[in-house]
Amino acid sequence: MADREVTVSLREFLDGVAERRKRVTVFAPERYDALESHFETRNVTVEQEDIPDDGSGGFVVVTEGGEFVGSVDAAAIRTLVSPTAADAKSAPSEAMRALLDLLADTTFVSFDKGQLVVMAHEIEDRAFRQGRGTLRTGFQALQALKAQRDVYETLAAKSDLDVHVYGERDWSPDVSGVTIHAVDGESGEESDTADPTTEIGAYWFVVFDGGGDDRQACALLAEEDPPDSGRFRGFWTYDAELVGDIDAYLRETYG
Amino acid sequence: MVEDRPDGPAESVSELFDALRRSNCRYALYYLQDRETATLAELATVVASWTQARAADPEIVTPEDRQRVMVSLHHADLPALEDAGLVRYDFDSKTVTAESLPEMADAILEKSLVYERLADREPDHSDRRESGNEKEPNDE
Repeated sequence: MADREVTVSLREFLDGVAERRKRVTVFAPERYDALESHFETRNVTVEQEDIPDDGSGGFVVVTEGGEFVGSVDAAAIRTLVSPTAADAKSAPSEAMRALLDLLADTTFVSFDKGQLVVMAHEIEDRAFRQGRGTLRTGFQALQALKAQRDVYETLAAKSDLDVHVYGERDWSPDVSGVTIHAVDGESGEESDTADPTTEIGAYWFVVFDGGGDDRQACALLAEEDPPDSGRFRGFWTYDAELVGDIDAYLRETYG
Repeated sequence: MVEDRPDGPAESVSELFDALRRSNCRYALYYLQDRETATLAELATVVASWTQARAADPEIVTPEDRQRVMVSLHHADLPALEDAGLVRYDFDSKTVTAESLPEMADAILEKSLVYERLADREPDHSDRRESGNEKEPNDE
């Protein structure tokens, strides 16, 4: 995302990430069956290459547009393929986490609300621990804030943390310390750039700018697709630049 | 660098061992065994990742790690393999082509792969091993 480009909708962020499709190549002495199925919720291409058995079990390489992103040992794949108690111990799960880190910035498809809530909490938790910066959350409809009221009041109680919540105006929340951006739903289609009425109602996002520490920046952006299906497609990212772009877009478009 | 074989038999043995004592060289050859050619970039990815996967506590391999291996391959390891007559390395196109291995090199590599396997100390694929988990750090 070049800085001169003006982003005109949340959809563009989604499409931009979707284009950067990653490739996972497993180099191992043995073949794993149906490996693709373990990555099907992520927008990646999966390949396998044979190597002689040197006892290491092999390794997994992640590339993007032919560029080397990183690699981890194949314990990550063994954990994925058989996530049993025996395999889930120490080292494998670490390799697994490393692999997930390499796959960050990829899109996911078909996640349900429960999965999004888990990821959202992870970001809210970061913001809380950092205790400063800006957190912007879009709940589609402001009603959804009811259930999160305590969480958001606790977050807003951090005096250096600026908390903004966006949503369609179906409730007038009074959550102390939180800046509410209510968007009126379904009015008309006069705008040809960002269409706030449908956009805010269709997207779930949690964006934390890191509070001055790029390593803490992270964002989740997901679109309910098809509308009202309870299924989402989107991405999460730790890329501080991309997080900054989304943050700036929201600030400039909705305040 | 054009000739395939070093001059005398004694020298050729020295050059062979000079190459094979380097783990980068051995792992490049293991990878090339089933493939005729590879690019420098491919070999850098494979050698950097594979040798790290053997570490007791493998860490993520970053683009910088891989870059370091690429520099070593280009300037030291691949020329050593070429001197031993085991590969041809085209400096301009950065392509490596495997030579058909002399019998001795073939035998050594086969053995060394077995030993790398035995020396590997990761307990969780011990199913393939017959006895104890004796640690044998035999890498350089």
